[in-house]
Amino acid sequence: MHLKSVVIDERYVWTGSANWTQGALDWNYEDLLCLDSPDLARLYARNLRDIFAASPSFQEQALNLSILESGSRENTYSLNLPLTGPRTNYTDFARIPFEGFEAAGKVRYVADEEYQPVLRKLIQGARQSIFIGMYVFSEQKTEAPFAEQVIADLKAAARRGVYVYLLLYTAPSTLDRLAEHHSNRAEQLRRAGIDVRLALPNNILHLKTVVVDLSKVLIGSHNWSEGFLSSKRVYESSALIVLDVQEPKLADFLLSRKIISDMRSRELWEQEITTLRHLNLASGKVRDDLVTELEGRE
Amino acid sequence: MNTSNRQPPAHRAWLQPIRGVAAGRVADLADCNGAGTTTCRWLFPIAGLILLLVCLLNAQAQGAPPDVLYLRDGRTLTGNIIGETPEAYRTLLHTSSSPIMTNVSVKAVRYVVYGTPQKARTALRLPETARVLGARDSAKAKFLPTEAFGEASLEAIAAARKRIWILAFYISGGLDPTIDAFYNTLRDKARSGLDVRIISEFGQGTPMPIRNGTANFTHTLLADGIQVGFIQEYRVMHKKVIIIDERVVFLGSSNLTGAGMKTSDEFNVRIECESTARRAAADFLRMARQAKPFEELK
Repeated sequence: MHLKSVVIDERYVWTGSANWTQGALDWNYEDLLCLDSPDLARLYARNLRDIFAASPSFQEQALNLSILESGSRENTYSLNLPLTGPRTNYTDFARIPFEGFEAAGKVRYVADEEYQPVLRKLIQGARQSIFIGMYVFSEQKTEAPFAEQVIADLKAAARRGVYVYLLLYTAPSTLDRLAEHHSNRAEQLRRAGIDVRLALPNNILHLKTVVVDLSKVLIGSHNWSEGFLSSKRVYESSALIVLDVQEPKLADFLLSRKIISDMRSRELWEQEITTLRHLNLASGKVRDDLVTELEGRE
Repeated sequence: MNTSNRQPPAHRAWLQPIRGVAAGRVADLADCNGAGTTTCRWLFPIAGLILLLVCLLNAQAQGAPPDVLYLRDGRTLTGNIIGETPEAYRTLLHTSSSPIMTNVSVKAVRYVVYGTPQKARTALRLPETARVLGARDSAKAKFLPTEAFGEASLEAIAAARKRIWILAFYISGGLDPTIDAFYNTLRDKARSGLDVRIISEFGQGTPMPIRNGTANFTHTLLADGIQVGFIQEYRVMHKKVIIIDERVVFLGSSNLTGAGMKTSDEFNVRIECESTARRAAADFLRMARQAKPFEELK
């Protein structure tokens, strides 16, 4: 298929040597004709329809497009992570409510230091996906190498093809040490192929939830902090629930939390966070002007 | 910084038809110039056999409810997964024309929602996971984001008949109607003779304004007959658990505050299960042995 023809309104025919590329339209020598001829338009249209009828459907063709390869040009980190890009909407940061939903399964009450081995086995046994929403992922003291163990488990999961989505809280203020800790985590783990996302600094993302394969849920009060790492600093309670069937709403819930849009590099996401923090503090006309300026940006 | 170039090239061919398996292409196997040779005498029956097997497989796979593959680039594929390897889902894709057999790389997939619960249980090893991780108690679970938690917890304490035991990192009334209604109902229940107990945190790390607020609120609760105890030790009581009538347990990220029921992004679960309620109650009593009444606090 090497045509470069367009039929408009069953009247005009546009044809010539130019492909629709930057080179053709900017600097190549090309010649083009735009003909006002209903007869010619009919003939061209018939030819295009015949070719169209003989072509496989879009769906089949689309599957053969190397979408991941084209994605790699957009994404600094990993071929396999969903694409990210600059935010376009600077007005709506409200937390998205989500209805409760029921499921049946097998439960274990997981108190205090019981959490760590359960978490690690869950990650190690993940078959397809791991979705995590976490308020704190930070280790102040290194007496327990727990964070490093979990990180190694997550990286191993990503290497074997498990999709790992790690959503972390973003502090509204830079004074909160978690702001930098979580940015460090994002940088470190996105390089390893883990889809780390940062929540908006405009809401408090207070989740402590791990969902594996849409069916194995570890949920409760355990943050991934020093407290539960060493089990000596905090009393915590969570539950492990292995559902009888998959529940896609678990992914829907975590994926619908509002996030920093541009995760292509640390510089870009920190820029966006700074802008959103400014918006958070501004009000009235100052805020409106800021929004107009941001939305009008190239 | 740019690691995309280091991705293994195998992923580029993430979705290629398996040669000779798509029904329309099996005949290619029999395309042989040397008709009448030994090879061809065997090739025709073998090709016929393969064709028959593929037809049977197609018929069986197409009869089953479809599996849906959710890709990392946001698209979905519908078909029947007929085999899984560590690298790929072997999938008979449903298309507008004839079905196509493809290998979908696991690294292109976010998650799969299987067509039948049985298929999910087997592929994700749900019974085995529950057994290995000690999730033994059958339960009904309801997953509760922020607002849903506020409503469900209020409804549950309002329906309590004998007792309400609570482990709470923070206790404080608030201006928000949901949290206000929660504590008012709790106080009503205590006044009407139910066994209502709360264990909360009052450690060295608790900031002074919160200490003062907790002190005032504790007196209100005590006056209504609610038993209130505090953990005051090096280890912080961070649990968020509500146990009702040895039958229902709430666990999750929500503190019993306005933030936990209204403003923050939270995720909790309501578990209806007597065994789990008994285990949570045992944990409560363990904490109760370490708790101090308000007048003994430093």
